[in-house]
Amino acid sequence: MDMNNTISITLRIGVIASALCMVIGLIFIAVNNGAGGIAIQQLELNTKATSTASFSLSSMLSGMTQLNGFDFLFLGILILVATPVLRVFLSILAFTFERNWLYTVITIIVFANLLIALFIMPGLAAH
Amino acid sequence: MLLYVVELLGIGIVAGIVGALSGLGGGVILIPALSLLMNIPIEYAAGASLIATIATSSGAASAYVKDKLTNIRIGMSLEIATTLGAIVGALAAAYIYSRSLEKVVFVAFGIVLLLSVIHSVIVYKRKKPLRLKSDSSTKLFQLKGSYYDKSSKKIVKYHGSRWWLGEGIMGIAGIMSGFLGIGSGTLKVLGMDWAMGLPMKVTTSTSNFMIGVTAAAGSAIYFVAGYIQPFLLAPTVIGILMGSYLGSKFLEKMRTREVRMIFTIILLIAGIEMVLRGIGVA
Repeated sequence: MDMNNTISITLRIGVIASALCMVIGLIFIAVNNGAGGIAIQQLELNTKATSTASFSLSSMLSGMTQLNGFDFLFLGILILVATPVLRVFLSILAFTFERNWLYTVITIIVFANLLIALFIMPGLAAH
Repeated sequence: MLLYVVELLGIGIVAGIVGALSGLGGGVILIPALSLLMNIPIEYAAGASLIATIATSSGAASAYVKDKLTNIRIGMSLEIATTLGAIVGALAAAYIYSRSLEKVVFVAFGIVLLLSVIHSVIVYKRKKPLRLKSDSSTKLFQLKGSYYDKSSKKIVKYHGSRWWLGEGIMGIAGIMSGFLGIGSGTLKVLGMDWAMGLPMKVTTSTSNFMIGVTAAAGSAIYFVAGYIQPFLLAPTVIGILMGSYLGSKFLEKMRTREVRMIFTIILLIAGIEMVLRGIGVA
């Protein structure tokens, strides 16, 4: 298995899936004339209520079952952010297969940095 | 809704085309366009740009990896500094925005634009790539590679050196990326080209690989702080993906001096406008 090819395909699938979610989300917003009780005109005003500050995973998932377009946009963003992270993770495997231990370690450090950036830092920044 | 979405889509397409043709990230076009033309608060423009940067990086990278122009080892070793830098930059941005000091970001952004204008003028003048002797970091970090050059139909072997200098520049590039919401591809290219002596083709595609990972590191802080507006972001990202696809697929031949010149002038104007907005003149 060519690892570079796998990485390349993963990236492409990630970007396409994300763009698709965003298109679906926009269509639902247009059809429902808004999302989750927020009218389109308010969505355009870019207030705190329409930002990612209001995000929660459980409300995104339940919103998606109710065809809330906004929650599809959230999913698109999450997929997009996840693609480079997945790419770094796959690179750890690729370097391990090559038995390139120095680069296995370097890539693990980068992956750790990403996990810190994604899961620990936002919590600290919020306080 | 239609007008708003079409406007964002249009700005995204233009930023994508310009990004693909000039080799600059879309962010340097996107943020001034959103904040100056559409009066969108700069934190939301930066948040949208950061996520759009991930999209263009991942979208283009899937093609570059196949060409074997991207040196994943060199890119990965430099990502240690860019990801840490991005965390620092994004935290600094969150601090600035929470104290309503947006004008600092406007001025910083304008200065970065003006510096990149100076950089592209210098690049015009230099014809030959830098050749540096290999050093201890060349061996230690395996900074070697080769690629097939389509125009000369030859395999080009290359090596890089001065890894520590490159890594230091990448730290600054990471901070800029997190602070301003851009990919800071220009500085990344500078780090690999000027500091490490790598060939331009390799630096461009490797930089493109790196900006997505860097932007992902900064994005979570923007996400939680609420600087990302999904309804603003979605049309912009779709537009920028369309634009960069169009740019790389059909407009490759337009990559001429004249086109670069126009982009440079746009950057110059945008840079001056951003500084003026920051100091409250415009």
